[in-house]
Amino acid sequence: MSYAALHLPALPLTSLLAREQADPACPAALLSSGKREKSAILFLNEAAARHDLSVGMSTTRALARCPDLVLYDADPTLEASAKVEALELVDSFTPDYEVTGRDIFLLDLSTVLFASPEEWLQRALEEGRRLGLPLNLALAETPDLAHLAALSARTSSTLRYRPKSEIRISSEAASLHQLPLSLLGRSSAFPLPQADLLELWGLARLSDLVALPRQGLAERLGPDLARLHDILTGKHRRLLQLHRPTQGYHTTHQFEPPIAGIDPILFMARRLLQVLCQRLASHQRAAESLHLALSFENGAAHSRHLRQSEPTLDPDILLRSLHTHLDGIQVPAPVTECHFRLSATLPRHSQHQLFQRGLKDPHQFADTLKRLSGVVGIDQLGIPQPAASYQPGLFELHPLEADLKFTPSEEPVLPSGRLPMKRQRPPLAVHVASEKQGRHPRPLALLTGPHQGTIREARGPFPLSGSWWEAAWQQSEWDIELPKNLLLQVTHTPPHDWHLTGVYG
Amino acid sequence: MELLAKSSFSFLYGASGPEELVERAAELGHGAIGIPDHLGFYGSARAHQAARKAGIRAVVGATLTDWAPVGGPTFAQLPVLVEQRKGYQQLSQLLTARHCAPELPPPERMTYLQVILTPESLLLPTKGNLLKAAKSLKRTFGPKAVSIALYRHQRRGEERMNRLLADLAEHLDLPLLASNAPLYAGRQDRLLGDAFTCLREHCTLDDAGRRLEANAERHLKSPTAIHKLFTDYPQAVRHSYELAERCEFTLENLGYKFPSFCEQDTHRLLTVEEECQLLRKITLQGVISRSLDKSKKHRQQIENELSMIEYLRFPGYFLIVWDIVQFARSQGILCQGRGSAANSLVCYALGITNVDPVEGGLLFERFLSENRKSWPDIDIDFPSGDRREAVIQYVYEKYSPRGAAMTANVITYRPRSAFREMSKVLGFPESIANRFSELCASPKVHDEKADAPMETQELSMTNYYPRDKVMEFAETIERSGVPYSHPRFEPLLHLYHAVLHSPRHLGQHSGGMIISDSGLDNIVPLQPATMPGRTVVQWDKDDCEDLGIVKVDLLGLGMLAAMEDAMHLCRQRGQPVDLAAIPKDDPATYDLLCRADTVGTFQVESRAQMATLPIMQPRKFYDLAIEVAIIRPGPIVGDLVHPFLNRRTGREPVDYIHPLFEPILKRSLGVPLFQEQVLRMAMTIADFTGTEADELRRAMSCKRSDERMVLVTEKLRSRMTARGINEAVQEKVIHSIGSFALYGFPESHAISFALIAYSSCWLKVHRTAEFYCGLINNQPMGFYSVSSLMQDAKRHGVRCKAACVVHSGGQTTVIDDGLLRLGLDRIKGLQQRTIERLEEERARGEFDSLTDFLTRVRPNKKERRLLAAAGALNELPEVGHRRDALWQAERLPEDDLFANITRNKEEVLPPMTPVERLGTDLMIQGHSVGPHPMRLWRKEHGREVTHSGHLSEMSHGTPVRIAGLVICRQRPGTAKGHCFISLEDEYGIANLFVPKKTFHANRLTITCEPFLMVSGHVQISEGGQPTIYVGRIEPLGHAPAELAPKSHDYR
Repeated sequence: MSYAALHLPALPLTSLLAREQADPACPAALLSSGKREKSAILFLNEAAARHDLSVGMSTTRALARCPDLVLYDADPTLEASAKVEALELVDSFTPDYEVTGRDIFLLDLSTVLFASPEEWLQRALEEGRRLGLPLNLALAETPDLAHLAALSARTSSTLRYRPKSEIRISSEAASLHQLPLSLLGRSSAFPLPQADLLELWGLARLSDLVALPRQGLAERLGPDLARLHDILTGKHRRLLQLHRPTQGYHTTHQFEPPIAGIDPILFMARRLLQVLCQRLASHQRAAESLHLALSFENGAAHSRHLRQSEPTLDPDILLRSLHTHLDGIQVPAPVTECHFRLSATLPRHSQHQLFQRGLKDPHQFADTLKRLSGVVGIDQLGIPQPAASYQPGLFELHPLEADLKFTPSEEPVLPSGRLPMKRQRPPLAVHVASEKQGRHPRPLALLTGPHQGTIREARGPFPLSGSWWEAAWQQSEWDIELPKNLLLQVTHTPPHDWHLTGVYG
Repeated sequence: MELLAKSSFSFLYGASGPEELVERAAELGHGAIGIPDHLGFYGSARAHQAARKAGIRAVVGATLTDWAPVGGPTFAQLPVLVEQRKGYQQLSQLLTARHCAPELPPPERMTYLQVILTPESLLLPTKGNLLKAAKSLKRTFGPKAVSIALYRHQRRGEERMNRLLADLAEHLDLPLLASNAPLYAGRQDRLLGDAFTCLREHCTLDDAGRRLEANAERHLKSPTAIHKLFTDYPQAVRHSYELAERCEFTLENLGYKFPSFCEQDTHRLLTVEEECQLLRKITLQGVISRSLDKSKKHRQQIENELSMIEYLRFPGYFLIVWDIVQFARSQGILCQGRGSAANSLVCYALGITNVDPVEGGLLFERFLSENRKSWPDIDIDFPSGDRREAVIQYVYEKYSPRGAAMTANVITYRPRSAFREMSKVLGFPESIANRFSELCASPKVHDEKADAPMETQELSMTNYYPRDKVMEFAETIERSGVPYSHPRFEPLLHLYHAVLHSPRHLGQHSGGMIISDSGLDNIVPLQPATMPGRTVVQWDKDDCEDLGIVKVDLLGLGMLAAMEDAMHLCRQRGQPVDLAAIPKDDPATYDLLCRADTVGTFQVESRAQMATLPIMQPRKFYDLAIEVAIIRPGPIVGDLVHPFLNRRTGREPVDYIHPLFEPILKRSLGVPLFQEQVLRMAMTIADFTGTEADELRRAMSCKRSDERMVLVTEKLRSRMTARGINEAVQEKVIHSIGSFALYGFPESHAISFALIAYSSCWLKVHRTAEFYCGLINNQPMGFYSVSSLMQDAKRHGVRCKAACVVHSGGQTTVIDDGLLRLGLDRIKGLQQRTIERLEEERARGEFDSLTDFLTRVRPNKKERRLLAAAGALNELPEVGHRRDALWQAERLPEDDLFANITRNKEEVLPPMTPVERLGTDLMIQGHSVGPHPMRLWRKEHGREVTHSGHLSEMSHGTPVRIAGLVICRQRPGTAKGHCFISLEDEYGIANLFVPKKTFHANRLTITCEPFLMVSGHVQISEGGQPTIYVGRIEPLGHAPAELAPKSHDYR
């Protein structure tokens, strides 16, 4: 038994159920997503299967059969993080493994020492508990046979949680050929484009396929089926495409004893960052951002992602942004550990053009922005742009990148009048004497506020309204002229509120 | 005066219907309204009718979009109003050209039209562009035909544009026109307007931003409000009145004239007098050939009818219809007139209908009367499919170019599409709309508009839809994934109801054609239909009828096609049948009807008909006509079915409502079942004139509004009161008439249908094999799938043999009285070309092997697999079974020297089991000649479950458990929420009644499951028919879903 396969059955669903700590007795299903097609069941748990539900069944039909069925939509992030954990688990068994699919890993056990296959399976499944997900583990002479065996609970050793955690060791590798042919559809490693035809041929089990003459099969359905035939008969062997994780540009330093100020951190960081930058340079990469994580003696932690204005290999630049950041934080307790991680990207080679001036020092600018955001708050810094709405004064704040990259919206919002207006932010509540006139009261005099007096002329109303489908708003604007040629804009919001929204000129 | 409104027929621009706009305009005090919709007169017919009713005038016009006059810029939107009929004809032709031949250059000059340059006319309305545009318009339409519109929607910045336009008007000496260019009738309709903007721009409300309106000012405003808005431009307001006066054309002056008859030999259009002579001549020939000349009554009736036709100057119409029928007959196409034409002896003599109205005692006035304003209605049924298309194309060709077109069918937003579009606009994911569509099992339940929301604050929607009023619908929405507490629940509900029934796009009517010999595009714009070779007009059949445009309905009837095929087979087999000559008193046919053995027949095959037949016990032809008429929504809703059956069985005395009605209602035992009876009742008891009776008929058959009905009912009541008719009788009369609103069924129509129904039953009894063969060859049609028809055939001693390449033709054929051979067309996915090639090759010589077959017929890979899997290759030499054929056919024959050497036969694959064969048959053909799926299921799992064959032996109230395949689910609007299911097993069909409560508890199971297991008790109805009153319903365990042919649901 040189190869093992680890399979996480129904991973998109089980990862969701594990996160929500769902009751295994409660029927649950994951739905397919699609545009026009009707939603159908993609995965279901065992409790759901007991209600005579099956994969591919329409949602409504499934609900008809099992009204208590809990429906889930896929969460790719959760699935990805489960996969990362699974990779760590597999890596702890052997460094020689292949990531065959999103939920299946093939392991080369030729360099692993174990007393007996059962003992290894037992130990591996015990280790697998830390994933908190059900898993199948199978051993075989070839990687593909191990893969096939792991797809079914009948031919693999399993870890289940129903109702409590349970390990079952199987030695039924011989029964592999009794598995249904439809099993091949569960893995993209065994493409079966002619599945409908094979069904018409009456092939229900893998053994049925094995029983067909290889030559006849190849003549009719081509080399893919011949290869599958070889896999099933154990004639096909292949090398694993070994997974090599991307090298990390990270380092950790533990302080012994814990330190109170930030200067020792900066001192240490200078050296550590230099090493990381050298490592990046050796791979023709540059640092795009610096991730800092601090652990404190009282158990607290602090982490921050420090994005750089442009990719750099200069440890001093990294150190400067780190310094700016550390200056702005309160350390709750002595620091026990610091961790730095650099995100790698391709280094940028740019040349300033004749008529296009870039920032002389983008890092300096980025540093200034960080200092500003420290003062006004991160949400209060950016490029304002009028929102695509008629709601007066509404604007959106676009994040301000150090390289000043900014794409304005496609439709420019042009001013509706020729006179510039100094907008009152926020609009100033004023008292207005008005007369009722249709739906919109007409202002007669400004009674309070910085500009008071009888209105000589009023133009309007300009009624505006919107967002009626969620947060409805409506108001009407008036342009008014006070004595001394003072032009103002006032706004009436039903029923009785008036605001001074701007002064023209 | 508002001249630039847009209705919902400017698809996705206007948010109110033309009727709504006109009504609102009248309410506000406008004397006229112009609704120039985008690229057509789509809504003008409706606006015209509504305006006539409201006492105002609808100015006719259209907006040209993306149009450029000769030497001018392209106009994004250019409203054009019609002054005179000549202008209307020019505009109509221009619109037709725009739709049908956009490549044609625009006309150099157009007259009798008024064109308006608006702030929205140009995409880039700069000073220079506007000047150029105005000059080009003056050149094309004339200097007195151009106005410049000013809009005031109370938006910032619009004054700058208005000043520019006013300067331009002064510079070119053009008049200004004040308008609000409304897109909706009331302020509250802005919500739907915004939703339409999003649909047009393919975005959600959240993303629409400034593409939405800034406020709700684009609604129809009163003349006072317009005056107030344009106090600084009084001349612009004045001009709107002048322009409205000047555009005096209305659709009243359409100038439509039914075409004269064109003599075939000389291609000359006949004068009315010549038409009269010709009609008289051929009618009298028909009288002789139908042997009617011996009866005095017939001779007298013919004379009366001909005089009436000549008096009304309608002979050309009869000749044209006769010509169409003649063409069909010459091509061997079966056809039969129906509708009120069946009341006319002339139509019978001309061969248009096959019912002798004198013998049937039918009312000729229902068809044609001295006082009747509109054209008589002649509908002709043809076999559906290519044969009907041949007739339609004959009409197109005869009146080409642009002399004939189909009437339109306005496709409106239905519950599913309304929900899908509105939920999309509100940003809900598509999966919610998908779920709604799945849950919306019987969409009619949600087809009712809620009470109109009160016009409160512009944007407030609270309490628009109290939950108790829309309970079921709200629940469906909640189950679709939008909880009641969702902030967008109410907007969704509002938009759904607002858009429901609004026009969505234009389709074509199933068979209504209008014709003209002077160019139909002078009358109404034409546009190409989706079907090649067809054009449609922009009005639907009601609009055409309202405007006096005569329509000939060339309808497709699947049963006629089936009967024609059956008759053809009878001729081939030496047993020809003449449908006109079959005896109308055949006891065996009535026996079949009495025992409700009517699966596959015409009109009497539905579940409700089959339940009534044993009670009704039809024994003569008129009984069948009543049977056809009685199971209709009208009599059912009006509660007329039970009184009639009770009277017929003697359990209830006959009551004529009033002694005066006895001669009218005698044949239907005092129950008014037919439209003619209702009209006669009105004429007798309320002294209605022929015209008033016709008004009543039109009110009863108008599907769009019930206002006409209310008016005519009031008139009826007042006349009866004046004649001293007592209150109780009045109520009964009004009730009887009310039942017919929407669902009126004329006696002549019932008789025409009964004729086809009788013929189909006669064929089923006497030419059983040919009958089923005809049915199978003309699917889909009727209530039952081919699978159910084959099961029924089996019960009548006719078995089917599977399709096979050695014996089968393209279509199903009759081998002998008890055996059919399925055609190769039953194998879904087999191309017609391949079938033809197969028949050709087989005619050259038999196939001596599978290799020979594959070499000569050259089916593609998919077809090879289909033929093999269906067992169609089994009878070829060296083919053992289906899987053997599949294995062999998968490898193409090699073209080498040794190709003819027989290979060693290798049996690699095992034969299919019966279940596999059945599954494969149903997958490939939708039916199987093998056992019923339930027989296989019963063998394994259900020995103790009752089957449908046992039900008739059970007594009323017996508890029962039965399982079967769902072949039909019905939940008609008349059933008060109850559901009817037909469950088929190997012994027959069991009828289930699912009470409303059980239906709600098991809605999804009923909707989604192809096989059901139900428990309940037997109810024996009056006619001895067993029905199961269902108490419990569940999916059938161990029933593979793929063993289910398609059911017939909720139609």
